[in-house]
Amino acid sequence: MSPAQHPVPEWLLERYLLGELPAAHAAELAHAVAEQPALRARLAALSTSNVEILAAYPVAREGAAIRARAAGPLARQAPHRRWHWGLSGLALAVPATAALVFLVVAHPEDRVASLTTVSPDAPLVVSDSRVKGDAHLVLRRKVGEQAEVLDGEARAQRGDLLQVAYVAGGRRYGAIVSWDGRGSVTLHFPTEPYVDTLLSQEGEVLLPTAYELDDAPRFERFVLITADAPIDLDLVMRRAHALAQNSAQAATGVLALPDHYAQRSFLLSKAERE
Amino acid sequence: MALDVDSCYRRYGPMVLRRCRALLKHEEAAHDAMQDVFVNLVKHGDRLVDAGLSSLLFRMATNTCLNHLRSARRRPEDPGDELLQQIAQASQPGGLVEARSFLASLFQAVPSNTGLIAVLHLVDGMTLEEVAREVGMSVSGVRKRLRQLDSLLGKEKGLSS
Repeated sequence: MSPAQHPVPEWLLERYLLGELPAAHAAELAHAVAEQPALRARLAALSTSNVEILAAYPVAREGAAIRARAAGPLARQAPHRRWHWGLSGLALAVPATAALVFLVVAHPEDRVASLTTVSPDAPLVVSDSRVKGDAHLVLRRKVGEQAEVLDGEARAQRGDLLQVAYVAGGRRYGAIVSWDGRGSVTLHFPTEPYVDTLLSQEGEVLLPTAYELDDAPRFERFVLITADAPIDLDLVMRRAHALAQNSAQAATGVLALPDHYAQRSFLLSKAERE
Repeated sequence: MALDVDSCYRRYGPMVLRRCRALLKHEEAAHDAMQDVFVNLVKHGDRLVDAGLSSLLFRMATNTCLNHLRSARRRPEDPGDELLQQIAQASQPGGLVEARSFLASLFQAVPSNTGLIAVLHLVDGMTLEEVAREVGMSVSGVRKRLRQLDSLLGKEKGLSS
């Protein structure tokens, strides 16, 4: 950051005022504040605004309203979908050994999409390294009006829409990352870095959103990392980034993680769209 | 993590309200959105780790405001509003595959944080590196999302450049 050349954005000042910037960043900004009267004026304005807002919207009243809405059925926030899969006449194009029929019902208010598997021989995903327990990934691809379960031999292409799900298999914590042939790394679970990595044990759990493949070459690789203690996401992302940048190892290598982390990998080879 | 609503609101409420005011430019809507943010925080408080919440609440406020903008479809009042409205509509989860079938709605085409990424970069002026840190992705992943949104917006000028 170079405050002399670039205006300090509002979000940065807010965090500075709250004392929630990393130490090095805070020290740098403190130096700029000491040197720039305009920055001090902006901080003073934020402090004044804090007082005005808490006077206009008092803590007792707002706190009570928030608690009431959180406890009641009439909360106004945008609905999240919870998917329950049961029997219906709507068939999916899944392998014959795992032919399932589903009914999907959307329920508002729930954050984590979950799925109850209705077949005892639900598809197990081919995976590779450091197998512990039954934790695994399940990938589905949208094909027209149907969804097919992908196996370890599957090939994918740009534009494919994938739904990722996991089965915790008794492992308490987990994270899901992917990277592609260009080295782009994406954290799929948890969806927020500040949310903990506790896995749902409710059978097969769909991630809240699907994933559309772009034109990155060669492959898309998804890895489920599980452990019996919270996952160090910073470490996972650093190691995923390092592996993704290693063109010789990115498709098949193992993340350099502690021994108590188990990894299950799902490699999708990319085919060019004709 | 046990959440003390009053303490949390006292510490972060003003920041969240200012964020909502800046994006929605409507006091009543901003107040509603601010409450929505804290209601969601309470509902999912058991899944939060004990860390500074300013970054998380800032992102939650941004997403909540994008949801408000999508539902309100307000007429933009200045170029900045228009960009925000475009981001809100283009990054609407499921917008591309809406209502084609129940499976289409299951397979939502735009990842939920694409709008957030675009607002952080284009409206708040965060660098790609700062955005990546905020949302827990690699810089190349952030670029990818911006390219995706860029194509949805149909703009000739690249958002991610």
